[in-house]
Amino acid sequence: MNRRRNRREPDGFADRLRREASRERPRFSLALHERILERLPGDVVIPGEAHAGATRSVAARRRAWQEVGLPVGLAALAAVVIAGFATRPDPADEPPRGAVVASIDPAGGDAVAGGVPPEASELGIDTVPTFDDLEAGVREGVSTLAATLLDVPEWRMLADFDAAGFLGPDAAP
Amino acid sequence: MALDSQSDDAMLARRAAGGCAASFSELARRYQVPVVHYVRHLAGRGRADADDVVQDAFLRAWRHIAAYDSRFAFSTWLFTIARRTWLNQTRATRRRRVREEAVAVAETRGSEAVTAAIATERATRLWQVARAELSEREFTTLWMRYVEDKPLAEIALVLDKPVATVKVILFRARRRLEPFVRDLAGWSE
Repeated sequence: MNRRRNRREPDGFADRLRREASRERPRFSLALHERILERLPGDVVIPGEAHAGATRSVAARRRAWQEVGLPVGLAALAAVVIAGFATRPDPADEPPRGAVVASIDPAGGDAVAGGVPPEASELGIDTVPTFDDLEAGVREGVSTLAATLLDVPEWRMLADFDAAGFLGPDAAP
Repeated sequence: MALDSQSDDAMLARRAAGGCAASFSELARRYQVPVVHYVRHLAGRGRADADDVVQDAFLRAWRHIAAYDSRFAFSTWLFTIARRTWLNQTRATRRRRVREEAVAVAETRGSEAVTAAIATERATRLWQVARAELSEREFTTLWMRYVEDKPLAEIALVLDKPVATVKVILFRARRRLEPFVRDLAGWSE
């Protein structure tokens, strides 16, 4: 019984709520209406020629730049930087293009003559390193860095190492 | 363009979906006042903040006008967007702000020494009390029911809840607000 009575709307309840709301009912604001309409053309995403001539707001232009222009620009900049680092040799080591240079053959220690083909140093798609090249380069760099820091001697040098002399009294500084 | 009846809303919305800004302008003109009215009471704080919510709500409506289902009232769709816009913008701080603004009113609840002046002031702030004491969902349900005269089915759309749930929310909201309403001056008028 109480439950049924509680479900009933109290007398005058609705009228009171409506009356209170109507007291503070705002009037139509032309300024607000214009502000809304000012933002409409710049925010349109509906395709079609109906909005073809619409001018875009400053906010819309800023959004377009942030959403499209900025990522594209950053991506292009990153691509140029990566390509430059990956393909450009050290200027001090770079021989003149097409010139014959002298170098030491790492296998035999003899001086050999070699050259850099003109097309090999051209910046192009063929010279962009693959991921395997980059990975090999990184591994080589890590190995070189580790060897430099640890200064690990080669085994043939260890065979000639004079431990007694090293630990003897003459070895003291 | 003499388009004044409620039934024209669907046609205006269709035109707006085709890119007709003038049609959307007409819809915005028709429903600016009720949306502003609702959002200002819902926000319960600075008018500028509420107007920002209204602007963003209309812009969202413009962007997604093609998604409007003309089986329901355009105003219901607008209220739904306005409510969600406000929720998104103020979810973190709305409780604290509303309570701070209405604390003076809420503190007087149940006091035997309520003066006529205070009672009068409270009477003018009934919806502010409702906003402070009720959840946002309860407040919106009451508003849609008693101010906008929305049927339960359309309130269910605004809240994205089943009609049965809306009935429960409405019942709870009335029960929670009733003690405040009884204390108001002029209750027996």
